[in-house]
Amino acid sequence: MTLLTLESVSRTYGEVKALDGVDLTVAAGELVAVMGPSGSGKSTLLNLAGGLDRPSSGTVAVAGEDLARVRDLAALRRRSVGYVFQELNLIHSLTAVENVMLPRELDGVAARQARQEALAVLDEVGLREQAEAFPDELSGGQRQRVAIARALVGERRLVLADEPTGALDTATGDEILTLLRARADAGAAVLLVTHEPRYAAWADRVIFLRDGRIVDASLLESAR
Amino acid sequence: MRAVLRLAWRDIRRAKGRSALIMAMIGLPVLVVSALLTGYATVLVSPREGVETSMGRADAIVRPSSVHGPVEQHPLSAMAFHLGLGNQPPEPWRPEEVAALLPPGHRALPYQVGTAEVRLPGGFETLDAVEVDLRDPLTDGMRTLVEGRLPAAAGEVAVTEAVLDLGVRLGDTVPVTRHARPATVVGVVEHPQRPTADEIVSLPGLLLLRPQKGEDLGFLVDTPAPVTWPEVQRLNRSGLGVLSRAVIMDPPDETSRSGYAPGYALGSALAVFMVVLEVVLLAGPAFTVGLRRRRDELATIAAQGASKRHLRMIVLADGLLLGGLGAIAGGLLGVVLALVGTPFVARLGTPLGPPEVPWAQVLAVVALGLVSGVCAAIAPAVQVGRESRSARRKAGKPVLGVVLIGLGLAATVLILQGDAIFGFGSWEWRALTDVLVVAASVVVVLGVIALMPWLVVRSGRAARRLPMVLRLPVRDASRHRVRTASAAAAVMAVTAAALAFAIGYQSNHRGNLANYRAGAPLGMMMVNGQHGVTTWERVRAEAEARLPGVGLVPGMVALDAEDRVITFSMPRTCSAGCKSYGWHGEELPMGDAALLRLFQGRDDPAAAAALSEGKAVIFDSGVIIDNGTITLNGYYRYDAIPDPVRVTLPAVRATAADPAQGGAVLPAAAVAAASGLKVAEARLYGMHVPADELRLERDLMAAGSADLFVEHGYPDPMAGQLWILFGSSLVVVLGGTLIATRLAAADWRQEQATMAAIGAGAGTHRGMLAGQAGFIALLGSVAGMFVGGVAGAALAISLTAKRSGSFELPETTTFVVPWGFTVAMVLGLPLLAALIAGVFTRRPRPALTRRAT
Repeated sequence: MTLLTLESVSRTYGEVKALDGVDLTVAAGELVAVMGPSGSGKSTLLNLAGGLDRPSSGTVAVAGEDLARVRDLAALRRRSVGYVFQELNLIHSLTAVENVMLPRELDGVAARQARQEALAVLDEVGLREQAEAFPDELSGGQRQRVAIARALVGERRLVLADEPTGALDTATGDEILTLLRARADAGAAVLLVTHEPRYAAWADRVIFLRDGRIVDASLLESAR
Repeated sequence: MRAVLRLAWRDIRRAKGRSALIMAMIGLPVLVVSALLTGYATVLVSPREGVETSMGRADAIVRPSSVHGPVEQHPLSAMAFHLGLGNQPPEPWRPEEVAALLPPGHRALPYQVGTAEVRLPGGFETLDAVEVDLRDPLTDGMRTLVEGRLPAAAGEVAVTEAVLDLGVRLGDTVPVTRHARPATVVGVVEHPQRPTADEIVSLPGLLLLRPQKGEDLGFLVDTPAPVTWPEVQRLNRSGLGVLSRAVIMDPPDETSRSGYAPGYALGSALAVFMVVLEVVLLAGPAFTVGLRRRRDELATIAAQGASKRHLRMIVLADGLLLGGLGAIAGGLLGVVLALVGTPFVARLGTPLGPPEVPWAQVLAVVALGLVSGVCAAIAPAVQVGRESRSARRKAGKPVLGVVLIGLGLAATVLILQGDAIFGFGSWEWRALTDVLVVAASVVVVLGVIALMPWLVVRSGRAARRLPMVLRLPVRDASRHRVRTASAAAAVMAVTAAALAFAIGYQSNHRGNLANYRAGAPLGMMMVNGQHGVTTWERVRAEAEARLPGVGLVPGMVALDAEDRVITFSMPRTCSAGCKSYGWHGEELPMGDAALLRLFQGRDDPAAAAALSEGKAVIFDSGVIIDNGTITLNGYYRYDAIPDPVRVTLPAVRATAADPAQGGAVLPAAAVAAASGLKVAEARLYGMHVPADELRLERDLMAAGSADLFVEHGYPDPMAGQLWILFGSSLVVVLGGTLIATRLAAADWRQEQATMAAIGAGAGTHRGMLAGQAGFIALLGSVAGMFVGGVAGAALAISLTAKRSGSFELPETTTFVVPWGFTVAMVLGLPLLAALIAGVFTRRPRPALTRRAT
């Protein structure tokens, strides 16, 4: 089942063409890595995929729904899309479990149920014990795991990760990739932006962007 | 130090918005106070500035006292007081007696001041009257001739322009004094320092009545040598009051000592302290947020070898520069505004002296502004380098706060029990208790300020059970506890002050209300002929014409042999805690059954029968009827009469129209028979509140001479003041809360991006800002409610004790909580703050994970 589809998607900022006619699909159970040099359009691709930005032309669809026709993109993000960033990931005034509850509560789910769901996902990412800790009491790796738990809570199956290992040491970075891989294997679609080949190697498919265009889309085997 | 100041200066210029905000917060109070000080100094005509207008070129004004014998006076006033002579009858001075006491070679020019009544087209007007020959060179500078000429003969007057506005023209002849002496207006003069004065000037002997009898004589005196303070004291021993030019120019040391009030000084010091405290609390969060913004910069400076002390200096320099610039700008603007504005204010009727800037005071206020800036920067400066992750969510044990609160409360109890415990039983101590209670409450306020960070952190922990849209702002506020505690403390202090004032004075008002006895039913009006029967027919006709359909009931007055109105009052039977009457309540009405019906609001056949039998009908339950009779005292309202009038009448009790109404109705014929006085109709009563009382009174005044009185009940001067108080609190609460919320929003920008990515919409953003503002304001107002409640109760006790005139603590205290005001302060203002913060916010852009590159 295809969870994310981009067809001929372009995005221009004034004179600058950040993305230029990109076609891409990500299916459930698939981890796709996006690589490319600085300024190649990786983050723009992720913003468009999550509905944080709208394309200048082309179509973006999440779980078969054309985003151009979605009026409440915030609701779509709450229900269908999970984000993981490099940093500034968590709300510092909320505990780990409250951070994970947040999208569900924003969606109107009762606090008690949201907490149960959040604790369950925290359990899955191995942070049940740290549920009541505040972000600045957690390590960098633990913080990213909370962010991944938040990206997965509820029925969301599309995870967009923007350099989630950028601020972590290698061992912790590996832990995070292991977790993302496991979520993909459990049925989630993961679109991972990274510039490190060693993390791209965890992906089922790697696409290379240069000047806003996909210059190579290969299967895992070819990437290796 | 130069490097530190340069860094601070650059940062101030870089963050213009924040800098302007802090400067405004510090500069505005400085502006207001400097403008008030300068305006007051300009409007106030000091004795030195007023010496020309008060004595022209003379060396002194000499005013004999009414009694021969030693007197005492203030160096800057010719008013003299007798020493231990009691109530001696006046002994008029002869001018030659005064002359004999003055130094040889002097010249004395008669000079009297007082008030005179002038019959103008609109009725009698009371004007300031001056009797002096303004043509004499000794009077140079006292008045300026604007038009016409100066009075040169008896029967000639000059008036000021304000009198022309009342309808007088140059060349008119107007009747002056109650003797209607004709006076021709020959000139228009101006008082150099009171442009709006209503003044009339003549040669001696026309306007003022008493100097004719040798009382209130006065002279401008030119002496060969200046009249020194020892010379003034020598003249005092003979009974002369002297205002001397030499003494005004070089006052003796005791001048400044007189009139010193410790309560006033302490009260002023507390007010200044609270203003500085508010400024520090309001400006504090802005410095804290600025500090967070500069953390990277400070880290870079630390990496270059700056010590913690250097970093603290940089943050303090911020406060020094912003405080200094704000205060100087505020001070200068205030002075300019005052100098430009006072001539306009003087047109409203205040005096106008020469432009004067009280530089020492203005500089002190500017210095206070600067100190406020530095104080506001102290907390962030201490924070520099202290920040650690583990320390952030912890607030130390609230020892200091608890100790201060305990001390303040203990002091309050001690002050209220002071008389009982220490035997301070003196009026001086009693007079100070209010202000001491306020001082003790300020200590409690300081304790709660010290406690506030702890309260903020505890609230953050308790937020777990709140819905998300409230939990998030409460947690965020709790995380940034310095910013939050500072703003909440500002709200707390102002709420506490407002509530303490409202409770204290509302309780006092209720007490006064309970002590008030109305002399007539609420809403009754009385037209009173001032001169008995002489002009009454005209007044009555005018009243009936102006008040058609009101149902006016006539009342009688008693007149003595000289046709003076003698009014009667009941003897007081209480010593302390007396219920007091308003307006004419003590002047008992006299009339028939119709008048009694009006005062009782119904038919009471028994009371009406008693009245017709010549019995006084008494409503005041506090008046003792002795053996079925009552003795009344008669007096003339405008002067003492040599033979006191006492009348004993049979009396009965009856119930008045209103429960709070006292007084009585007297039978006219019986009073006449018992006192030997004549009775005649000279009053009208009716149940009616005229729409424009002043206008009606003027109309009646023009017809003859009449007063108009309306029983409005005990006046509530606080009602308006409470709203002014509420308005001022509103400004501080909204200002403090919204500033803190805007700073929070600026801090939040990064987290907003995350929130938007997770799926938070604009409503969540608004909700969070509203929640943040509501939390800060509510925390402050609830804490303020407790402090204000305690302080208000203490004030109420202190004021009740003062009212009862007893040195003991009262057994029951009138304690009134103005609930509407309290709810508006404690719940209304936080809700309003939340609403404004939520509504007036920019919709956040859906933030991008990183800007496209």
